[in-house]
Amino acid sequence: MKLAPLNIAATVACGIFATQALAQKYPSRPVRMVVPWSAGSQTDWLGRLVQPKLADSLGQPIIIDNRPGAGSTVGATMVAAATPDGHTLMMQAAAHAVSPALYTKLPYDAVNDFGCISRVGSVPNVLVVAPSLGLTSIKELIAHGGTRRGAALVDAGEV
Amino acid sequence: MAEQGVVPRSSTPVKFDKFLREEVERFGKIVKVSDAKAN
Repeated sequence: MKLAPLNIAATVACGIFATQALAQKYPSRPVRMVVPWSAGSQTDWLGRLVQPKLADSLGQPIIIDNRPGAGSTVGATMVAAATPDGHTLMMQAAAHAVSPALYTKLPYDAVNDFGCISRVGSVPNVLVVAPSLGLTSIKELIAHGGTRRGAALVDAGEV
Repeated sequence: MAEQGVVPRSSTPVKFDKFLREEVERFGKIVKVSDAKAN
């Protein structure tokens, strides 16, 4: 079986910042990092990798808060509604950029309701099929799909 | 990071904001063309 790496998923980190908060001492209390994915996921792992150094650098503990659900939109909704004082951060994945097109009623604006801080890392995606299908290329996969009625069911990992 | 297959990336807030806007547009087109639905 052939694995086709599709380097389309870039893990992103978003945080909310309000400019008025910067005039005060920041952070004035522990910072919550919402991870809208389950514990042990790739994005969670990145959050936990950044957590200790970010805590050292900010001088306050960083508390990871896993809020998975609905393709990360549950956690993102929470972050969008949080007080924009920099004490609520989000470690997010590429799904954040997919959600606006995928969900018709998104209770937040994926771009304008968040203040970007930095990208953290990018990860490859892999496309796999059951070996019993005997498909060895994307071309063959498309041809295979085209000969069947109905839709293909795709699990896009963290999307 | 490399052990986990992650390529480290860094950016400024301005560059990241630009990147996010481009990604939303790019994935928006892909979702539309593919007619993908959340399940």
